[in-house]
Amino acid sequence: MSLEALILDCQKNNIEAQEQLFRLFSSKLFGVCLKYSRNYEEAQDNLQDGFMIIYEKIGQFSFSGSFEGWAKRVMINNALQYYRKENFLRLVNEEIAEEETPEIEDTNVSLDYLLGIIQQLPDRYRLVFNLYVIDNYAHKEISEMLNISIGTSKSNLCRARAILKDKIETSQTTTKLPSAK
Amino acid sequence: MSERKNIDQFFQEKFKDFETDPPEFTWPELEEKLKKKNKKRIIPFWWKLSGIAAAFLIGFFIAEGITASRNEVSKSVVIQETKKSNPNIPDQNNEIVGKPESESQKTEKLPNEIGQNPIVQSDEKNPDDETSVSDKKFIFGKSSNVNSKRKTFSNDNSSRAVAETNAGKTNRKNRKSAEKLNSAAKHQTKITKAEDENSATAIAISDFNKNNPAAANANQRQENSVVNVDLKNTGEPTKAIAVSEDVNQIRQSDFTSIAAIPNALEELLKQKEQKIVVTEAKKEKWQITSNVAPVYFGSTSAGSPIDSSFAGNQKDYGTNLSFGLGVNYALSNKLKIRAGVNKVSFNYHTNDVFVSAGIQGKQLENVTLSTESQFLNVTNSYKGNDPVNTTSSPANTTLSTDQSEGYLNQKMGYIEVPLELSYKLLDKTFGINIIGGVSTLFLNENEISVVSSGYATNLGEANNLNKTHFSTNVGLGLSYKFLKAFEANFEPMFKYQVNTFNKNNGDFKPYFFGLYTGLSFRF
Repeated sequence: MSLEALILDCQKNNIEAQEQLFRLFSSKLFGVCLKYSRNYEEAQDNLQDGFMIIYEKIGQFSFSGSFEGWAKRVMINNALQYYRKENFLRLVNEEIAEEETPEIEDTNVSLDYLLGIIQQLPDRYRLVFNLYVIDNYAHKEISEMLNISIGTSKSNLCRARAILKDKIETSQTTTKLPSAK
Repeated sequence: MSERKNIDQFFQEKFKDFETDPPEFTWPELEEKLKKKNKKRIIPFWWKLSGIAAAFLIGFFIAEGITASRNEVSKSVVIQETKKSNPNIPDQNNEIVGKPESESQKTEKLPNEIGQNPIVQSDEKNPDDETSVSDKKFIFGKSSNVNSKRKTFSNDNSSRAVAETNAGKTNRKNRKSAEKLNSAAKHQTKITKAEDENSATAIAISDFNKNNPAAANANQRQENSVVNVDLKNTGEPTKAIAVSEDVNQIRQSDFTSIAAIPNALEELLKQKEQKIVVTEAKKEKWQITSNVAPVYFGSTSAGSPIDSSFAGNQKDYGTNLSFGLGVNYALSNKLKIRAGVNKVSFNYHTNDVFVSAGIQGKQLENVTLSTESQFLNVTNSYKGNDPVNTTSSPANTTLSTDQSEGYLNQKMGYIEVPLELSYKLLDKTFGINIIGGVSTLFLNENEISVVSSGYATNLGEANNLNKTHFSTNVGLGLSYKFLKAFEANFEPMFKYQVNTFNKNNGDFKPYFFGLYTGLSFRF
């Protein structure tokens, strides 16, 4: 069955099609959830909620772009929505001068470890870092998505980078790689 | 050695195709949520259908009850007789009840059977009946026990599900799940106490869960399918109960993990439902109106209800005031039912009458004279040209004073209770309605006076007016919405009186025309 036919079936609330869609995209989308969440359990919650929204809104998918991109955006928005509810984003303005992007040694650091340190970032740092670095959103978009200023977005990114750099370097100095969590 | 790299680039490369399989139970949980959501959507649809079906069913039973009530007595007689006549047919009673069409056949057999079977057999029949009934009861008792137990479990599930959907977030999940399992376990303990068997195991399971909710969670998930199979295969109710408890716990723990997720879609759905309810509630059905109207009284024919001799006299119809309150209820978007209370009075003059005083007043056909007017003569012509004029009689001639010209004024007052329907033709800021209905008018003023030379004398009251009469109403309603709930109304109404007079109306057919203006408030 083509993806298009599958999506059409999902639009008719066909449970089998919905399952197939889940099997096709759950791994990729769970990856997205893991990056944006504080931990594994939260990522599971976000994945389920995100899929519920996908099933609900799939009728609005117009087949004009890639379905994966659309689903990913739904997931990201859902994850952000969770933090918007918590209202943590309206903190004091913490703009700092922009710094150059730090460099690190490209050693063989495990993906689990990297994911772990991303998840450990303060919420907004994590969101901004993910949005900007990994998912290629511009600061202007991020500022709108998170309802913060562009300056705050930039400063959060800098801090996130600095924290991540420190952690990676610390792990590199120790002979034994720390576990992911 | 490794090279130095921009940290952004480093992470981009690492997470380029990052994907991880979610835990196995994600889909089953999601599926359950989806099914729940679909069920919720179906509910309003089914409610409507079941409502209609219920209405039909009730109607059917009522109709059947009415038609069947005639045959009921004879039926019961037949049942008893067949019981007595043939004890060897064990479920005859049921058969007759279930299949009334076979009744006639059996009644036909009756005489023969009674003849063949001695009365003693009817006594023998009784113990059989009793045992079979008690057996049945026993069986039913058993099965209903089982059912009720299962029901309580399913109720537990749903109530927990509801409670748990409101639960907090992941951080608190473990603690909460422990609490819930605890309460669930307590609950189950209560139930299991009522049962003799399996209670120990059930409590053991719940205790285990109390102590180690996370482990129980995982284990039970694995066991879930196995347990389900068990549930299907078990014939013994007690075993089924024990198993269903397990299932409960599994479901419960599953729900706990689902519960932590804020279900945005469910919230949306709830909001939508609430909106619908709100909009339905907002649709104001009631309207209070006040009205005041100049009322033009008239008659479609030129008679006189006072006395036939005045039939030819010229009449002047007065303009009076009607005022009142009304209430409207919207039956549908277009149709409204209206009721209210108005006070209205009419009067008219019968001109060109002559008044004179005499020893004995002339009796007008339909007037009960008052004491002060008993010596007044009212005629429609000067000096006894009229054959009924008492002044022409010799007895009065000498005593009669000069006749003076004047007019008769008949006044009638009513409390009007209209009941009307209005149908909306236009429903914008300006609205147009057509109105039709009936009014009940209760007489509360009845007076006839004679006015001559500037003096008005009360002549008495009309005795041919009905205490209650009706009018048929038709009119046009114009409305203007000037605020959300307020409307200004202007309603020209024509009301034709049906049975104003109980006798001898002298070919007087009254109507009135009112220009009702008022304000209405919708709520």
